[in-house]
Amino acid sequence: MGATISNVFSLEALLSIPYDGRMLMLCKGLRMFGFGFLAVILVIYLEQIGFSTSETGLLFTLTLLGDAVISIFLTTHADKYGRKFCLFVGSFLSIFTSLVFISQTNFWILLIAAIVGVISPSGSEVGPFMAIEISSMAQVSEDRYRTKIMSWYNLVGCFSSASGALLCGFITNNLVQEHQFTLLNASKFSMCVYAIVQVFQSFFIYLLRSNIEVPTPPQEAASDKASASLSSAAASSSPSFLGLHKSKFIVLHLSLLFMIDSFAGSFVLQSMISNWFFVEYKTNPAVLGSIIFFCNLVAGVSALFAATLADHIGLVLTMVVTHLPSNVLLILVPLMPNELLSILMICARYCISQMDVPTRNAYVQGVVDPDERSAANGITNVSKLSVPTQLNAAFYLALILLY
Amino acid sequence: MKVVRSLASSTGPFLAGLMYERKQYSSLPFFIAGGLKIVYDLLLLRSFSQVKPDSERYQQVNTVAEEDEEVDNYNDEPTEESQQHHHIEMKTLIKS
Repeated sequence: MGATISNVFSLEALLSIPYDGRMLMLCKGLRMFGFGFLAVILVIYLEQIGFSTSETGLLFTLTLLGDAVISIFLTTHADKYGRKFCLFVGSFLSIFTSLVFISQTNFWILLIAAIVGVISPSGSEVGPFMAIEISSMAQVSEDRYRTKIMSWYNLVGCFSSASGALLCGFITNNLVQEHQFTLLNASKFSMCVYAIVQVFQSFFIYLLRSNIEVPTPPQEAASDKASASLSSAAASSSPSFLGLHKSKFIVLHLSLLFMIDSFAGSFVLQSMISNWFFVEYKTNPAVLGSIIFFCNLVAGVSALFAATLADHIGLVLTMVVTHLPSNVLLILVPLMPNELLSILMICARYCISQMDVPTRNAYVQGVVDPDERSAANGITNVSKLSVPTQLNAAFYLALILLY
Repeated sequence: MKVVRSLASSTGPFLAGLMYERKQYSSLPFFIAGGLKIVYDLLLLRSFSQVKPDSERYQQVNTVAEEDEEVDNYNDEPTEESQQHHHIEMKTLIKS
């Protein structure tokens, strides 16, 4: 094991990322910064403009559904009509939604904007962006570095959303306490910052070149091949479905598996775990939230090691050997005799929980054709989105800063 | 708020909410989540350990070229057999 530091941290892969890849990283960073920022302020803002908690709950649920529909539509058309174009449409929709949220206070107008637009209610990744960015990243980067670059991409997202949440808590708190802003104005100000971040993101999308698109659309060759290979097994279905041709079954199969995983995850959302610790041990949710927040950052870094591991034992095996122990740890949490050991288990679990994310992304890119990648990512992502997304740990930490 | 959330969200959190509220079942969601996720891992390993992504296929071509034909792969113009094999797997998956 004579691995150098550069090798372990995949620095070589990071440096190999070409111009378009760096722009994609910037988009990801800005977007996740914005989403982290928004996660802290959105609930407070909606409360300040007079929404009840049930209205906010409804708004968030329909937002997620609307985002899922838009994502499916854009990602399944991106490889055909242009990835850059679809990223632009997504970006426009998120700017539009944030402007409506800032300027309007009528519940129904906001509801419609949330459904037809793109906005992240919980700080997690939504919309068509990630799916299209990943397929573009796979397009412009070297195949041998793909998994490592996916890990860096994931890491950029982790740290951006964390810093967004921290900064938002800090700014809002500062405005209220030092500059005598009302909470309404302070949160409105933060919403404006979020909108500006969105505009910056669309600027970096504008800077992308045509390198990210599917190379020379082999329309006839692909459809010939697809119809030939699928004629026996899938005679009933059309050759192209949701932007997929010959990888329909593999994407469907993977989506079903990912659905099991995210359905399982919905039993242990972070808010529920916090609540369980509070009931069981009287653990302060804010303290636990900040512990998990830091574990999530460690998780982003640990995912880099997963990429190195994948080079040796393959992607599927890496996904399994990193994901399985994390769930054994999860099962051990309630079996521990005391609070400290339970917290240690949950921390260890969160620290390795991200290791299968970049490997999973790299794997999906690797098993489908280049012109199916955006659609495959979009479909596998939405299969996860059907379950309420995990509340961002940063949210708790920012709340501490706020009060 | 709780009602709206529960109704609108999937069965996972709703069931989980019921379990967390009762002291004697409160550790059940951890077992269900961990157990299901382990099932996911095993299914993934079973169905996809032979489906190599393109990056790993290149390595195989370089190192063990003679074994390359043996690899059951979706992308190498799947044969009727492998497609059916996958069909069967899908069905068993849906059943389970």
